[in-house]
Amino acid sequence: MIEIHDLTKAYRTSAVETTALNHVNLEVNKGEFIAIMGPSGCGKSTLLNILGMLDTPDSGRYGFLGEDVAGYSEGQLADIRKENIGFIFQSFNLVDELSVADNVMLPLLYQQVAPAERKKRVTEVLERVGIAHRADHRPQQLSGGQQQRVAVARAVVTNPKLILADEPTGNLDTSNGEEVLELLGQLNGEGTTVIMVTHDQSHADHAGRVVNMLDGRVLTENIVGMQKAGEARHAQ
Amino acid sequence: MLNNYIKIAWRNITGNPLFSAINIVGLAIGLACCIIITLFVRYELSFDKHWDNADRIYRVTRDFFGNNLELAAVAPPIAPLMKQDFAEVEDITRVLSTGGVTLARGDIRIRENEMVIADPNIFEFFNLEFVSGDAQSALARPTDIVMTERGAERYFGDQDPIGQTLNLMDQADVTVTAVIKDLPDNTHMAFEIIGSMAAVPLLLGPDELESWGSNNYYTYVRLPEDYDPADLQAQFNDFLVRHWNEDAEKSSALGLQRLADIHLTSDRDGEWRANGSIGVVYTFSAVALFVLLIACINFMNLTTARSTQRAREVGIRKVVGAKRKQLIAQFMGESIMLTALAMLLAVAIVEIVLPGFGAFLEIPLTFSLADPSSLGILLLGTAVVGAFAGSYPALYLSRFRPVDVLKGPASGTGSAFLRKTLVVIQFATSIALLISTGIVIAQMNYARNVDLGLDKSRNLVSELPYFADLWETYEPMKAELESHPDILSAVYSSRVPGMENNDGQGYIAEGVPVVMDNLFGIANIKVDYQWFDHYDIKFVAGRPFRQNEMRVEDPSTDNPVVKAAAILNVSAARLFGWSPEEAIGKVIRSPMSRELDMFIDRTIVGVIPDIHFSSLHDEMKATVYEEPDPNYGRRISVKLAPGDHRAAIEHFESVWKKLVPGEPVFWEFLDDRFDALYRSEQRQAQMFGVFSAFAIFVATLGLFGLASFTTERRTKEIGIRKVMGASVRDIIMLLTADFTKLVLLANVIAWPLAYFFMKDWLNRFVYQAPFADWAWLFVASAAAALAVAWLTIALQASRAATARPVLALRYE
Repeated sequence: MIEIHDLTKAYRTSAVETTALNHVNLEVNKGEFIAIMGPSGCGKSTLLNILGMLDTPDSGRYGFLGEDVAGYSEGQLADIRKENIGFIFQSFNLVDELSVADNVMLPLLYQQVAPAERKKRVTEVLERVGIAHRADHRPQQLSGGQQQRVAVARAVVTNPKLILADEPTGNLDTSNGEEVLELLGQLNGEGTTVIMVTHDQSHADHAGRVVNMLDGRVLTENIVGMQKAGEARHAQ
Repeated sequence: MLNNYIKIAWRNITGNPLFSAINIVGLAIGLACCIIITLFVRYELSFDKHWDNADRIYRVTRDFFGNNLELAAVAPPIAPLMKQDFAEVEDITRVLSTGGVTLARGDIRIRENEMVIADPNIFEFFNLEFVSGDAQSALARPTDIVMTERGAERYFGDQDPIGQTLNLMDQADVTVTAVIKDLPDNTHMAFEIIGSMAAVPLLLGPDELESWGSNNYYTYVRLPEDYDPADLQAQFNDFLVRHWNEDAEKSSALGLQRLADIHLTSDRDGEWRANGSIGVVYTFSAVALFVLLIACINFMNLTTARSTQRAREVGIRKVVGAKRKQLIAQFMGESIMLTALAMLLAVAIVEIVLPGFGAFLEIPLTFSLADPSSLGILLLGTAVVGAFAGSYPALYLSRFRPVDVLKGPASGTGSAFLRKTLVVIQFATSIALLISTGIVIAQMNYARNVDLGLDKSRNLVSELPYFADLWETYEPMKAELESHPDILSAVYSSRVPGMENNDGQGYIAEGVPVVMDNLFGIANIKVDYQWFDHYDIKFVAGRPFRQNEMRVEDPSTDNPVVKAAAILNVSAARLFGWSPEEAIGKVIRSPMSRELDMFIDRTIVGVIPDIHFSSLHDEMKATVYEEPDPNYGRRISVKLAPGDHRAAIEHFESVWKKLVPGEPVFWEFLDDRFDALYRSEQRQAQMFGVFSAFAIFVATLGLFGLASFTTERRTKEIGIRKVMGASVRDIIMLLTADFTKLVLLANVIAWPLAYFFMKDWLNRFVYQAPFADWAWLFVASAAAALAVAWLTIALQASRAATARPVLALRYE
């Protein structure tokens, strides 16, 4: 589904240049659940932004569903994004001025889905994340966990092929965090590819594969079961 | 989608009341100014366009080169001769303004300023609409008159005026033969009663209609369609040579003015009434646009300043698939929606203000939403202003990248430079307007207080009726008036100060061959021998007239050279090449016949300085002062003693009633006459003042909003600084310093702008208030702008500075 080859990205100010991604290679297959881990500043969010086409690389190749999108314009990227990708953020990023239902409906508006169909899908997805009873509330009237469930609903309402989650549990307590991870697990189980950035090893355990990053490079890629086996060997 | 946009827009408007109020009020004021000025401009541009064939009608004008006369009217023989000579002249008509006559019906006696005498084809020429009577017979006899409905109502009320008679100046009875509709207000002409041209020989003498010197007849010519008026104008010199004078080219020329251009572009000597000015139309259009621009800048500034609040929304929308142009459309839509609210408020303001504004300008301004074109303009205006105000914020906000704005608060500093630039533009505009207003007022004060070279104070001026014998009325009137203890003196003159003086005559120094080429065309005024004393005019050389120097007879074939005296002003003496002292005792000769064989020889007895006889707009003309002449104006000036004037005025009125019975009493103060000369500038000054106040108010609103935003954004910094020991004063200084720099920079831009613009405006006056009179305005305007800015910002800053730091630090 995703093929990244030799990707680099640097941030420049007048004084310093910071390399965020340093010749990164990565392949993601359809239906995978991948966790990207690493310390602050290792480039994991930059990688996620480029994967989500919110940012463009300086060099390298980015193949998405067989298309090389590295040189695409902002408009072209927006088209691919709205058809294929759902986003979940640590800080939920809901529009405060809109109700829960309106927030979830937003992507459908940009996809020009017919009004009746929109309503139906919003109702279904809100029921699915267990927040239908709060449809007419504003985001500020909800708890953090509820807000993140709305964000998940918004990310999946278009039935995207890929969900990108940037520390989706970072602002949540343990039980709310677990609920969100379970939701992601379910979606993955239904065939949606999920890529999640996280700090937390226990959350990474929900993934099928963990990509560890350091200083803009991919350090290791472990299948979750094998990594545990490796740890067991170290322990011996 | 639209629903979603409207919802967001509405919540943004209601969720930020300060921001919305500043924008809506500011835009509403800007829009209201624009609507009002548009109505004013539309009215000014509509003048004389409504007549049939208006695009083919031209007014014939005449210039005299010697004494710089540019007349709006021409001599009476010109119209019939043009009709005879030029096949392209489809039709031509003349109108003579009587300049004030008395009409009476029983007890009703009215001094009519709006009576004219016209050729009988005037009705057809301008397609004037008859209420009763008809064009063919309306002015057939010398005693026929036609009245407008308004004119007729003054004398006849509800009665049918047709066939009724009125008495004209106790001289003749005239009969109303027709009534026409009132003239519209938007014409340069002004008349309510029309007399017959056939009466002119009876009223003004048998030769009047053949006179080339009586340039008092407004003459309008209709030319064929697609005809270039320049082709006709090219033949005018030959025309004058043929009919008037073979050396015409040297002394006089005829011209053509398009009828519809007269109101806004013509400022000739002897216009019907004061015309409008295209300059004023441009100036006020520009000022209204400035106010609107300042309001639009407020919107741009406050929207981009608040961009951090919208940045996340932009990020989210982009993440879920919005394209940039969709976001641009959304933000433009919001701005148009806000503008629509402002437009509603603007319409309300216009409804309230318009009647007063129309009354102030003395023009009928109407505004109705029922008029589809007005409604269309309002809708279009809303869209255009909304799109303009929203353009920059839309482009700016829609450029945010989700990666930059979804993680943390966006810095939003990218637009700070532009925001500062816009604040500078706002203040520069406001300061320039403020200075301009001050300069207009300074010039008005200068005009009112300048040393005219004559003492106009405590003077009451009046005009004896045309048919009263000057000597029989004036002498006893003068004696009776001067017998009152509160009246110091009463004198005759053909014109009184504050009047346009278009009278003139050809003069030649004694000894120089008397040919046309050698004649100087010089303005002249006929005055009584005490006139110079009366107006306290000092002599540079020589002395005033003596009573026995007043000439009483005209030259004739038996007595072809008559002797008299003259007094010159310094400019007139210079024209002859004399210093004031040299002029004394010299003789100037003025020919009194076209054949140049009868003369008046005047010995110069005195020279006075050039005085500001009329408006400061006009150059002080070279002028010859001569003895009284009953054929010229018969005006009197009455000097009152200091103190209460009521008794003197009552005395004047009773003398008038005794000596000119039946004639409505007429007098005015000379000071008022002079004030009237600058009335249009006075109005402009007031309008300027009002618009400047609006501009500054709107700019201040914007600054207030911006300051409150800046302060809010720096709350945490203020908290930290206070923890570190900063005092309230330090904090206020910190916050005001930035804006102070901007306002100072605005001054640097505004000063030269205002200087050059107003220097140009002042050039309309030949005599201008000296720089020292208004230089201080620059500093004062700067101080005022700074004071307003400081007050506004300090109000915000002090609130932040006096808050407990713990609140500020907990804020984020």
